[in-house]
Amino acid sequence: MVVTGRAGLVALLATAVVGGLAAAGLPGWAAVALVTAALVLALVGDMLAAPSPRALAITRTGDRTVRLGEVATTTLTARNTGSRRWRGTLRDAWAPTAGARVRGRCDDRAALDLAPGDAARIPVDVRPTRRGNRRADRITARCVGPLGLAGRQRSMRADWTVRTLPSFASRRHLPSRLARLRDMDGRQAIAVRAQGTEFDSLREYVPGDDVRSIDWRATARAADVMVRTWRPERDRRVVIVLDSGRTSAGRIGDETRLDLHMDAALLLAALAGRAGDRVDLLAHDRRTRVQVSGGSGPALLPSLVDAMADLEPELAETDSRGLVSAVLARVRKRALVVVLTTLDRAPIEEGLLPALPTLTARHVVVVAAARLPDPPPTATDAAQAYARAARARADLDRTHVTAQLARMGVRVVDAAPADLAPRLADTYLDLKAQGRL
Amino acid sequence: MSGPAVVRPLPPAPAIGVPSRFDRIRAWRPTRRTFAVAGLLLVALVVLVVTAPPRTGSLDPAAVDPGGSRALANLLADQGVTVLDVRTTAEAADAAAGATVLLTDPYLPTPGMLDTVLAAGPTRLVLVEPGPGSPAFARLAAGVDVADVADDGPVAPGCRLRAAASAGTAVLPGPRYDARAWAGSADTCYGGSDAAGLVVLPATGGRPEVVLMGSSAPLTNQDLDVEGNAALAMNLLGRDARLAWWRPTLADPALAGEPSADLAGLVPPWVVPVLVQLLVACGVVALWRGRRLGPLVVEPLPVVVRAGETTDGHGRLLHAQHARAEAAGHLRAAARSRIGRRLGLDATAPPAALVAAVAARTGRAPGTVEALLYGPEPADDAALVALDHDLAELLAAIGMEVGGP
Repeated sequence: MVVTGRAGLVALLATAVVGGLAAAGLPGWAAVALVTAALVLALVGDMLAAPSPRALAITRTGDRTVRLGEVATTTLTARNTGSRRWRGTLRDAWAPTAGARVRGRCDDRAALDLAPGDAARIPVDVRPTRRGNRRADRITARCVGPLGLAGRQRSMRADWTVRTLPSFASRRHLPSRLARLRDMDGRQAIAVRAQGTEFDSLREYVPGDDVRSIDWRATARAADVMVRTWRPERDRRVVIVLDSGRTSAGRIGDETRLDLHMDAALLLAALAGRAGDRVDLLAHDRRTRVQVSGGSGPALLPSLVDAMADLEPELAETDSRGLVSAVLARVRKRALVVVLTTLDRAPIEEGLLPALPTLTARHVVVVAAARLPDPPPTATDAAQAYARAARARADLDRTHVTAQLARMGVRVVDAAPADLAPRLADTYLDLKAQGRL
Repeated sequence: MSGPAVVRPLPPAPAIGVPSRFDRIRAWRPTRRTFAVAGLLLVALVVLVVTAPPRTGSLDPAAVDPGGSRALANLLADQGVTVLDVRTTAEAADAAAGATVLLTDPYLPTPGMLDTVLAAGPTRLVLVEPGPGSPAFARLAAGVDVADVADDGPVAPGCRLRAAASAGTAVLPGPRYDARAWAGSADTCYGGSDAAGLVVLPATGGRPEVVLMGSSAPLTNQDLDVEGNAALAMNLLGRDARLAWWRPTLADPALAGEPSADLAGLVPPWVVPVLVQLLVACGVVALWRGRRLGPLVVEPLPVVVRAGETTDGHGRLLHAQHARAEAAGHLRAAARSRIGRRLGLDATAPPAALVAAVAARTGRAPGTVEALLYGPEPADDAALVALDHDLAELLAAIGMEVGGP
């Protein structure tokens, strides 16, 4: 049983009636008993007159996936299967971070007034504020009687999941990197030919081409000056490793380090996919959380995004040896291994550094990490000066770690959060241009 | 139901590094100052309790404050008068027989209570500053009226009453009584029969002699020694061997039985039913507000840790200990490392080489550069801030972006 605000108002007015009766000479207790009995009768009668909440048949249709920051629309269809008019409220409850709103309202409720057999469509906009599977909880139907004083209420399950994918904010960097990739491709005679680039074709010389790429033998055969063109190597393996251990839980700005790293991984994967390479994804902490292998072509990005959707940081130290052996077990041929982790001194020196040599022996390794945003340029008070000193210490440690990694032949990408994805993509393109893959 | 989608901005994410209210509450720890303040409060409390102030109270025979009457009570006791400090009607009635009764507040006792005391047979009843509104006045001094209110100038007795005439001039600020209705029988002193500061109504059949004192000044510690006040008070109160000093109180059990104390008799008959019905209405409103539209939805949320937490903590630790040597060392080492990389010097390059290279690049004297990069520990926190500033300036002079790694 539920009572409405109108019932409260009526009960309040009833006190005036009691006052009137008592002033007119009725004994006080009799007035109270009379009015209260009338009130209870009205409430109970109205509740019995209300239709059953079960008379409402509810189905749901709509989006099952959404990118973080965008809106998914689901539609509830409520049909009155009873024989009485159904008046009341419907609440579509979701977990708080799903951000569910009935369209046109600022909450998750909708008012219904359905004749028998009628149906209403209620659009519910879901705007999740974090990644992962956002689930609908219960739908609660509350119907009120003809007097609007009291009614009945029931909650029912209506399972629905909106899978929230990473936002891939860095995809705005993709066009410029793809343009650079095309520049490297066989359409022009590149000046620097590194080992590993593949012979593509012969074409006529146009002014501006590097004279060193003129193929004299072909020129002799043809009527024109011919140049050789090259294209970057294709069909290489790129293994992206996300460290999902405790260091990835740290929040930089509004995002966790893991989210920043996912963003960078997606840009790299999109680029590598277009360049014709095969991309593997691995997320590892104490054990392998996510693996996507050998993806290429248009299906690559959706499969990666889907795999990342409900990956959350694990609050445990990463097992770096396990991580390395997982990579080794996955790819036998030479590959580009990109490890997205941290450059804090302790976890690297005690974890990754001892395990890396087996990896660098067979693969090209890049270690990338988002670093903290830069401190204010100078200190204005003592507290800031000490904070800057601590930060200077951390920077020194990171420089030290970077130098150690560089000595092992590892490329290090240490960039501010906003720069990490483009810097990593550039590193990939550099390696590709040099034919190092 | 199918209106256009309302896109609402998401609530702004809390700024990073700005402690929330919860953080501040959690960060509170009792400091040494807190303990000191708490200790001080405790000591103050103990001192207050131990040196409790002496009894105070208007016209209290045991009170020593200016408004109290202990001086007069002691004087009376020295003269052999037994002063009985009574509060309730029953006590007053017990003490009243053959005694003088002093009623310090004529407004409080009801006629019934007065009758109880008068029935015990006191010889004299002294009323302090009674007014026509007081039950005692209406009961015992009908016809007398308040004519005026006098200030605290000395006034001569001007009557034959022995108690006043022997006391002489007195200071009696307060009401003046118009006792012309009792002309012939009453003694009116200090101001003539139409504005007397002291009126003595003679004893008749069922009632004692009644004294209307137009001022409490002669009774108080403060004004006892002014002019003839003390003599007047002693003459009025010290005639009998016993003095019942009746200070009526609201806690008097005799008050409880009075019919006017019944609240239920005063409220209209409809008030109680309305209150009861209002309670029912409150219940209905509580039911309305109390029922949720469906259960709360719980959701496990990931832990949120700031990535810079350890670095920030290190900074605060350095600050708490004022570890200037370490802090300056870190700042200098970081600056040296950056400059060394910028100028192409190896990390193992000797200090002299670095100083020389910087001096050559910036045109500064090698001495000042060395003091900056390898100098002693700063003397205080201000010097540390200055050092940070100078290092930033040096990096800028070399052409490096300030704030980078």
